[in-house]
Amino acid sequence: MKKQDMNLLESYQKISKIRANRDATGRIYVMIFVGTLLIASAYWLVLFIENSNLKQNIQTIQDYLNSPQIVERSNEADQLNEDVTKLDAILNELKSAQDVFALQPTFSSSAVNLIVAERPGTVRMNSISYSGDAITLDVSGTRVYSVSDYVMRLRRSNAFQEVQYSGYTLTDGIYNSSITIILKGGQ
Amino acid sequence: MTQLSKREVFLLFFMAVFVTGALFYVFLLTPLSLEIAENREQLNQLEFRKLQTETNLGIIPQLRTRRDVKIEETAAVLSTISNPLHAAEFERWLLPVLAEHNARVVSVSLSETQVATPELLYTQVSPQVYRLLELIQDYNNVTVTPITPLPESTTQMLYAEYSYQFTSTFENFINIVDEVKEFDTTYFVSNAFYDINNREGSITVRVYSVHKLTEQELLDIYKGDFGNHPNEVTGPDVPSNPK
Repeated sequence: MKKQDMNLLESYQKISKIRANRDATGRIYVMIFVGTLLIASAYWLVLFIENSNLKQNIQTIQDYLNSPQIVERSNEADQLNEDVTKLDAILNELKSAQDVFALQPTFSSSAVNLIVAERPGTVRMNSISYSGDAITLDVSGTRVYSVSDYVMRLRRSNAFQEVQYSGYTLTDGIYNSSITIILKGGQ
Repeated sequence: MTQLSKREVFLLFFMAVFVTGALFYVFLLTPLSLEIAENREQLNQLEFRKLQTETNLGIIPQLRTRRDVKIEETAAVLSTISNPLHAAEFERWLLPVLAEHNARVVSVSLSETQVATPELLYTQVSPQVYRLLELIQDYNNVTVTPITPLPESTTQMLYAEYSYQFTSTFENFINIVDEVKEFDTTYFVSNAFYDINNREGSITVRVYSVHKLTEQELLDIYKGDFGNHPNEVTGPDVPSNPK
């Protein structure tokens, strides 16, 4: 016959053990939850402090940049920079004009005196005209070689860029011709 | 009340942690991180501006000096170019010269002032080059320097052209041309003609002018009335150059 044994203490201990195990698991879960919450809060706090520091630094720099003294001096510096840039623009604009002016040939006594000085006695000058960079001489020669002599003398002077000669015509015993002298630049 | 199984408890725990974490991440961490990123960016920009400002403030004395030097340079270059002038004002330059050299003015043509770029009245005569010459130069080790292109100006200026026809001696004609050159400004004789037989001469002067940095510099242009009375005809008998 089977023994009917009602060991209440043993049953109670079993039940308590099961309950204790269940409570311990719950506590572990709660601890993990609270721990995670604490770590996250700490991280948020670190971020919050960092953000506060950033805001403080921003405010400090903004106060510095917006202080009337700095604004005034900064405006002065900007104005000076702007002035220098504008003056540079004016100078650059003028440079190309200066280059042109520097190379512009000039009609003056130095060229004319040389032209007159080189003239052979057999050549008579009727008129002299200047246009742009060319001096054109309207001359008359008493000899057939007079004008070419004159042209050769002018060429030998090396004072001009080019001496152009295109012939002559004989009228009433006078050899009429035209000589074109191209001036050098900047003279 | 129904007892929860271990698995259900774990799932509940997991859900609680996940939901709390998600809410924490979405509503607290993310906005704060974004704000920090924005603030960092703003701080970087401000620090850069501060650095720029400090640099600018530090070089204010140098900038003042640099601006003064530039003003001097610009004024010096501008002073080589004529002030804007009216045709009547140009006559204050030329009539005394014509008078001084006993030139009798026959006719005058004065153009309107217009805006133009300076034209270079110069042509470069290119040497003739052909293959055999190149070979000979190569044999003689002659280095041919390439022709440098002529400058072209894009600078717009005020421009006018004034032509004078007069009678005078050839010597005086040349002296007049020389005097125009000696004005040492942007007045260029672009055309000139002298007929030796008839003792008639003419010159055309191109005048380029620009405004100056300050209005005060422009005030110097007025050179005084030439005649004694507004209706008096000016001629070669006038006194010295009013310049």
